[in-house]
Amino acid sequence: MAKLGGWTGKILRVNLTTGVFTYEDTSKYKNLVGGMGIGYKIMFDEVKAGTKAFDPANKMIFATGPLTGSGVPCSSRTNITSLLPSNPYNAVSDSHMGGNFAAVMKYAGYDAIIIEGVSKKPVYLNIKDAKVTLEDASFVWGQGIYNSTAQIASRVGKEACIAAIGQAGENMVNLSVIMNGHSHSAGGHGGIMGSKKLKAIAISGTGSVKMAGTGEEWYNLNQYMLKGIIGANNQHVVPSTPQPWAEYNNKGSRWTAKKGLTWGAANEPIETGECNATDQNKIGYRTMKSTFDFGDVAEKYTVRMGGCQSCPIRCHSEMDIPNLEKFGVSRYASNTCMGYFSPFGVMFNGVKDQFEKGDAKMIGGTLGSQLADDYGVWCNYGNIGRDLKYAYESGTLKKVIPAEEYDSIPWDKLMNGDPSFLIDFYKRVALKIGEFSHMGDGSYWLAKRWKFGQEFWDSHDVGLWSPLGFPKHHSSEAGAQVGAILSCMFNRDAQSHTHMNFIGSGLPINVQKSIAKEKWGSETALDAPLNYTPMNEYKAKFAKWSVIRNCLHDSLTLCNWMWPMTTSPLKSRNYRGDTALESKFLSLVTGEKISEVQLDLAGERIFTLHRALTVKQMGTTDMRGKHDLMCAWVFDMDPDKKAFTPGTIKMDRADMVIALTMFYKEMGWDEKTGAPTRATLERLSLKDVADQLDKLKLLP
Amino acid sequence: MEKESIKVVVDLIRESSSNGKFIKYEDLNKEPISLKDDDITKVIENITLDPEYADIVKRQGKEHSYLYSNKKMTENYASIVFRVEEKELLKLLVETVRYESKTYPRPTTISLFSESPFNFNNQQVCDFLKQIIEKGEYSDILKTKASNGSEYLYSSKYLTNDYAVALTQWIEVDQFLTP
Amino acid sequence: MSGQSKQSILERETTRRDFLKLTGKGVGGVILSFSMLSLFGCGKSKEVGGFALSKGLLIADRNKCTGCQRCEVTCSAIHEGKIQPYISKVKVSRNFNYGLVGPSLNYMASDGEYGNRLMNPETCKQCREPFCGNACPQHAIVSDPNNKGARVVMKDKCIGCGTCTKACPWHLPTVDPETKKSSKCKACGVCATVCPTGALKLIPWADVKATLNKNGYLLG
Repeated sequence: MAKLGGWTGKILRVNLTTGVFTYEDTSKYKNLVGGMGIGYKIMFDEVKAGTKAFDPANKMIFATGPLTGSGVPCSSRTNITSLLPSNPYNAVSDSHMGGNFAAVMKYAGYDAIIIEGVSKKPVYLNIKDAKVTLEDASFVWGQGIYNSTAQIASRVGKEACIAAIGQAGENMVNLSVIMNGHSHSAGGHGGIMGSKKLKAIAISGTGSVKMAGTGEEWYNLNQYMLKGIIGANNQHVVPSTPQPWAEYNNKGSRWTAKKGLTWGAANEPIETGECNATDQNKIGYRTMKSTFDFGDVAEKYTVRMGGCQSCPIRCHSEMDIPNLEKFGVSRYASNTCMGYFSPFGVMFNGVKDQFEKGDAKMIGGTLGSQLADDYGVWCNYGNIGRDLKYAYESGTLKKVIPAEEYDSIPWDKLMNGDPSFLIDFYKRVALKIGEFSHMGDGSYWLAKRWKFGQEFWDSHDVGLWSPLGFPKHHSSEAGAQVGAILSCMFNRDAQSHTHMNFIGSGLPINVQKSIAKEKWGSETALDAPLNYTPMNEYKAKFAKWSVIRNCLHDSLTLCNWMWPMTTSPLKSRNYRGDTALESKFLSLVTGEKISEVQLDLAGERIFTLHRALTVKQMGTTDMRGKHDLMCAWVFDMDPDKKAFTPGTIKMDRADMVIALTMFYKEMGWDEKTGAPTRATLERLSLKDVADQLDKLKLLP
Repeated sequence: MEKESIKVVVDLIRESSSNGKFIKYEDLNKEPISLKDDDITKVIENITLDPEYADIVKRQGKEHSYLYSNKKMTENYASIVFRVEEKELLKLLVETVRYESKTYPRPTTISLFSESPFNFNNQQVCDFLKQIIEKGEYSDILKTKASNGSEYLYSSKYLTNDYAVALTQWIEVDQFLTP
Repeated sequence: MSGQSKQSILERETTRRDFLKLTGKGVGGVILSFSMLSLFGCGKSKEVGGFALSKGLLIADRNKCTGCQRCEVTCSAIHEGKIQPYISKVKVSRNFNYGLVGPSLNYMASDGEYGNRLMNPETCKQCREPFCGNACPQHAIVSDPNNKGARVVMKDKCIGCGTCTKACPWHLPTVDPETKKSSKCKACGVCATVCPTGALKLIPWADVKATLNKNGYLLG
């Protein structure tokens, strides 16, 4: 490979069946950038349609991109690509984990690690720069992620970054994760590692990510981003309370720092204070997430904020709650957002305050996150709790679970808001104890096995977005048709934040609309929250731009929970961010000049490849009819209201048909079926993909 | 007037603005500035004329005159501080609710008014809510409540009731379902 | 040296020497007493180390360190033109998981991300009697007079033997496996410039002098 900065040039392929390691040149994937792009191409080329997630023929690709480990803000994301067992077709999905793993993989010298085959015995992969070995993992097989990680670290060295599965992954629970660090987990693929008897990957790296630009150029571009473009978590650019330096404020903003709000459990409480937009030495205080997630009670239990390598935002709350030890877990807990909310949501009848007024959510979340994260249980973006609620309230559980097992489950704890219920819950799911443990199958398989009624799928409360069994996640509640379209595009919840970050920025609607006009052609691309209008072509452009950036970030890799920099907190910039910043950093690091438009084309290529792969795996071109589906509540909720009136997110069926058509048109896909056409695939330099689909008669 | 003394005054104004506070003319009589009234007038005249200090803004209240830096304090924030200084709190509440309903658009959380620079106490909020009901000129200011008990105000000039109710619920509860 | 000398270099030199005298330690780096720390706005924190650099006083406050490692990536980018935390002169990532000592049976309550969440950012103490410099067989580590006496590695003399790493009680100088040259902290302070929480902070000597004078400690 030509001496370019960014990529290491090396991909490691590990065959667990033979124990053989081979190395490949990354350059053949260059126009797919890295990360997700590499993952989808390998899956497309090497894993036959019809393969199931736990089949030996399935592969896993842990991939990074040219910006990973380059010190660009928010650039330590690992993209994991494989088949998804909770999906009805076991279709491809990508999961992601932050933390340090991705950066360390680059410093060890690898752009990606491909895992194939099956080990006869439990092993862990030990990588120290160029030295790669498979080691016996029987000493940690059967243990949770925390202990396994510590045990492995004591053998390979304290500085190693270790990604591991817990008992859930070992037991091939569909809803299981792979986790590195204490709280950075990738959802849905844990069981695949388990099926291959791969307990963990430990990496140490003493090498470097090279860059073509000078250190000074790198420094200056970073300063440009950090001193007036970057905001707070989710690129919210407005503080949550009135502050002298800010024109606007928004209660829902994650820029929660203010006078008197502290990291209360630090050695000496540290004030977050008023963090103005150009002060780069206070970026790490902007997002005080613990009180945002749990309420005021959490302040005095917050040690600090934490997060991923190279990211100044620090969006994980690191808590010290001594009373947690009463539940038999550590007093220390870390996580953010759904990592806390989904265990709390398993307690669907609420949690009672445990030790002081208002601590219910905090205790439920920090207890539950430790259990879930140590066992390595995933949640299908929180739906596991809503599945439980439905199963319980519909009387299904009583029907399907044998009486003796049913009586052994502490239902009284669940109904009385005692969060120690979670100790029993996660154990059963992770260790596959009894019929109840099928809660870990995922909504689709669970509904099938326990014969849930149609009302399960139609229910707004259950909140499943798609008949494929995944929930809403910045869907119709995020930008009307834009969020709705995006939510149909993947084989699980979309994990796409481009549009939501922009919608939630905190700026007034007229400022947002003027930015929307510049980016996507018209103010009508963006509706005001909960005040929707019928579909138009500009919304299709906004949706396309959003998903392309999402795929690009998962390939570069950058954190899509922060990027792109669509807005900025500075009035002097007219609140405009810099959407060319990805391409500027990439040009600087690699030495190859690439424009914003050219880079977006790569994103389009990667996303279309995903589409082609989905077509291949489902064996049909009828994406509109078989894949891009929405549950009934999306259209039938708020029965006393009409769609496109203020105060409802209710969508309209005929309108969504048009919405998908317009989106297919934007993407250059067949407008009837939503399948990629040969013309588009060839335009995107995916001729080989077109040829393969053609052979399988899967071109529209 | 020495340039040094003027710079000291400007620095004080700018620092106070960073901290969310105006400087009143009479503050310049006090320590550590300790200027006489005549000198205060001279200083402010000099400041007004110097392009380097173009960020220093004067605002005239009923009794007091205020100074702040629009580099360190935005106009929006200054408008709030002005009303607080002038003790026009009910007016401030109503203006804020109307502004938010029109601009973002969104209903206003009542908890906003306990934050700086509002700093209303509970009794004040109660009194204002009573007065709003009583005074016809504020009949557009209405209340909503989220399912978690949080209370909001909105202006019916800019938001329908349905819209305000739905937005209240979204801000307080629904958005946390998809964090 | 008395009075308000405008000789800033000498003034700084005096201030630094006198600062070290004042805090009464032999090693260049000092652990500041509570009373000293409070002068610099560091409160009653026990875990703050102050290191006397040329430009000013570098404070590393581990209570504010969130483990982002931006100091590491910036250090190597500026000084080596590549991103290589392993050779960063400020060390955070090697202590990220399990603190200074590594995983113990009690890891859940010990330093590090898997325990009490406390980070251990380590910086060069610019020792008055540098262990690294005294041990180097090539005399490649010298006190740089152009950089206020910071101990720096002369790359053309370095043979990459790693003696400096072993000799340093904190194993801070690091041989780059790619170039086989050692490098160490030059006391430039750029790590402090980019720290998102101010855990690394460079307090200019002028401010140190003003604060100490104002609070009754006489210098110079």
